[in-house]
Amino acid sequence: MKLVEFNALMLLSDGFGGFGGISQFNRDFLSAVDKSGLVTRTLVFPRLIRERLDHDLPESLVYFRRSASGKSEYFWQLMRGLHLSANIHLIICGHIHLLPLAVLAAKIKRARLALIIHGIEAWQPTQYRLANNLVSRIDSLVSVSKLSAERFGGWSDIETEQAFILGNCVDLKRFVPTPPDKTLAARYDLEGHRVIMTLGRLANRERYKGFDEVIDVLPALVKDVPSVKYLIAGDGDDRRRLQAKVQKLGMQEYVVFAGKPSEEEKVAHYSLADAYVMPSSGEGFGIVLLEAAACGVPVIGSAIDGSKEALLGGALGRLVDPKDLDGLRHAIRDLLEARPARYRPSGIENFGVPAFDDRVRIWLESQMDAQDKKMLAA
Amino acid sequence: MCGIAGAFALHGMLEPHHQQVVQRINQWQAHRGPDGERFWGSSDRKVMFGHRRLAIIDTGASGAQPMTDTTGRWTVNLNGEIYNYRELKAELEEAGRVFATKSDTEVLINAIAQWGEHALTRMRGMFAFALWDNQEKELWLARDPYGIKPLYLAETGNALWFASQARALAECAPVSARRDPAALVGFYVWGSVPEPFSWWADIRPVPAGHVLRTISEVKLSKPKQYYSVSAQFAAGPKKPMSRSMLRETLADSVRNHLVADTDVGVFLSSGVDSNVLASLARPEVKGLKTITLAFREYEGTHNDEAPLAEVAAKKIGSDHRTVRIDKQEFEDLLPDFFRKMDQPTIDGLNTYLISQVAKREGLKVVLSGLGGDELFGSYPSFQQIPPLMNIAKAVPGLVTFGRVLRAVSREISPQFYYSKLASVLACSGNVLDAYMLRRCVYQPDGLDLILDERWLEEGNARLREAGYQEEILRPLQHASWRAQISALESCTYLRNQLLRDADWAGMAHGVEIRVPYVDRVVLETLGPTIASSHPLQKTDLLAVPDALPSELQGRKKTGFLSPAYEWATGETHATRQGLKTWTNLVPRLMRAPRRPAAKPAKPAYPRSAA
Repeated sequence: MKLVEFNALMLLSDGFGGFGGISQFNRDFLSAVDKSGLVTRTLVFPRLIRERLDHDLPESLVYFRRSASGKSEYFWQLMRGLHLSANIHLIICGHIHLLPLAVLAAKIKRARLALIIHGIEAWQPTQYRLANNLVSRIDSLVSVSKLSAERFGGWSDIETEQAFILGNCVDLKRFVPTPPDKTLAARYDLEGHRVIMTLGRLANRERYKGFDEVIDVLPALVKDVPSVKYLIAGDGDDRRRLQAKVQKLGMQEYVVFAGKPSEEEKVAHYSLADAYVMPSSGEGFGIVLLEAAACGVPVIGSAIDGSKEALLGGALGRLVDPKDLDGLRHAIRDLLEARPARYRPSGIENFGVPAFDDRVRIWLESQMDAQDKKMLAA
Repeated sequence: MCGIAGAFALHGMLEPHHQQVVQRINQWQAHRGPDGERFWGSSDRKVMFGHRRLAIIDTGASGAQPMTDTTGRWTVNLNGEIYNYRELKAELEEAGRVFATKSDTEVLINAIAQWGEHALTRMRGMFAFALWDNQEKELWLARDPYGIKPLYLAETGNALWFASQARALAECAPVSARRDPAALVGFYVWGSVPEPFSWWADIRPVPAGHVLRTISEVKLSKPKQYYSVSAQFAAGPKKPMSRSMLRETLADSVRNHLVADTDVGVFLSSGVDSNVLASLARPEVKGLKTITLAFREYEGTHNDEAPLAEVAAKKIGSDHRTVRIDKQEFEDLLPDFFRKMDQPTIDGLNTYLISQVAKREGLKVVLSGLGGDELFGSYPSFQQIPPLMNIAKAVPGLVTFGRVLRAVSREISPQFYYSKLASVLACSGNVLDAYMLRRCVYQPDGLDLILDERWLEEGNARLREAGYQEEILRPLQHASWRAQISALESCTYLRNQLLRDADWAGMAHGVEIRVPYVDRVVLETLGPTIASSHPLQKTDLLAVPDALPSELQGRKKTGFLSPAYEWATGETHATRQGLKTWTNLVPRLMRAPRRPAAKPAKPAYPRSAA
């Protein structure tokens, strides 16, 4: 039984009160840190809080909401926290863009420094030279996928083998096979149709989710499966362009832009789909594939990005090369025609919350051991 | 003293799964009563009791519980002892009541059958019980005036659950695991979870000195107060007490607390309180055993309690044992210590360790000097708060100046802001503020690096709303500061920390800790004197026994010293920071070990070096 305090400080883009894959990862990660029982206190500095935070946070966390009020406030809140807190043993940098501040915090507190990388943001050097130069200062690298670690290792000096792989997790109690919600199906006019679906942000700067590729194969697919409809769940500044593209191809009646579903409605949306299709090219991991699979929806993912690892090399869903549009079309057609029964693929429990919590605990133990050794050496 | 558990159907009847829960709670509390286990359920399936027995009075089968009286109307599930049961029994027999056993439990049943709620103020002892009245179909849940014995409740759907330990309910009953924000804030402020809250939002204590009576199919009523400890510091003519009367009062209490059909020992420290108890018990008990816990690390230092306790024991003439433990033994015992800890507390460790020793020595019942400081004004709070209040009264604007000083320091020197020193003047205008400052680990507004603001806001609001401490002082508006501080110490620190810890930490080893200073009759006799212009002092207590070693008399109060904080924090001596570190560690260490998954989850990837 350890009778010493072990305190952590985490800098992150967003987590509680945020949405999106990285935000979800951060929430799961911080919850796992709390559940591990290894860390006495974690001070958390988020850059953004998008939604009202009106639920209880894990009790060993202190979430500095004021740090989300802007860049300078972020800096001052962090400095105040560092000044007042007695002992911090581990600094966790949740986004590579925050690395300069994390390095400073680690130096002030003489603490270990860990960096978490997710996907495309770390595949190439960032736009911030300072952050890129400081990568060599990290003591531990956590990556959501091997692919991200390899790409990161490609431009930094960090060896891929040194990375601790911590894939995202999916709440298997929440994402469960559910019969399609008829009211929701009626809302989108999907009754009697074979539905394919992609969920994600429609971001102009990140056109890697594969919406374009699915739209591209629609005209041909409609001939194979006339009752097909493509449900796009998500919103963003790329929506207009995609709508124009759909129009140009004359596919309006086959595509539904549903907007961004709320967290509560996510399961109901996945359950509308006969196939979840995301031929992406820049996903670090692709948690949505697992969410859909957990709901019993057959999944088609990308063979060329982190999705491959999320789908356990094809064990949890079919893999396609997004550049091979014919292959994509055939994969969708085969799936829709085969009408497989809804079931949750075995192996998905590897990405459940308990497995994630175990991985986080193992990683934290390694950090504590390393800290102990450092103390002994000192 | 035992462990009790049970379920009551708020609507309808109890189902088999309710029964299984009661069995699980009973099993969880097995260490509280190693001498036996029994269950009882009413024929209409309205109520079920589970009992773990630590047999002390009428140790044979006739004293077993749950116990139904000869008329079949009443069934009781009792944890505790009624010390004056022989007198009450004689009175009840005279009134025509018939007894089948020699136990105090049956006396409790008959006292209530005869006198109703009034019986609660006639019983002298420590108790928490559940009583089923099969005629009125009514459940009674009650706790003794001081709250020496614990009793917790949880309401879920159609059932009301109760148990001796809050954690047993949290881990066995179908209650939510949600933390109570007031308990969380309260723990970091006070070092223990303050009543009326428990560590879990859906579990609450039956308040001390209260009785809750309920029937099925109606909304659960609020517990009704039948006794107020703090009111005793105001009641009666406020006159000084002669030393001979003090001696007789304490000797009487000790005699009552020795009632048992097993051996009774005394925890002996180098303090006055326990020595007085031992010297009063000695003439009553042949071969009185006394035990002192000492730490090997303190051997030869002024913190070592053992040599003085040994000298005192020799003078008292007891059969004395000194047991020394070291860091390694301490660390070996820690997992069990935290597993048995009922609710987080920064104390309890020494009681846990010495109870283990008592068990090894074959003792089931031990007297402890807890509660003496509250009566004889020997905590620093008694010396420090009144002068501070006097100064604040004499210097107008001092409190305001103090508040401004503290507010300014927040920006200029945050380290100073978080220290107690910064708050001394700001807290000098109100006895509650001053008391909080004296007792707190962290100040309520100094927790922003410890707890998330949501917990803080809700927790502080709930604590304010409960107004627990204001309620303690309500009968004492015009009482002396000494009386007010005695009441605060008795109803907060003593109740929420010392007595609660004495219960679970003693019970962790099946050892009953009895507290002769924490006694209704002693309180009613000494209370008015404490409130007088000549309140009792430690010197009055010193004069009680015929002879105490002279070294004891000049000894500065040290408390029951333990190097645990230093061991926990790596500090070379006890510091405030060390106490804070220990406070930070306790909730984490108390958590139940994570239940291993049914199938160990395989990691998605091979583990790689970080």
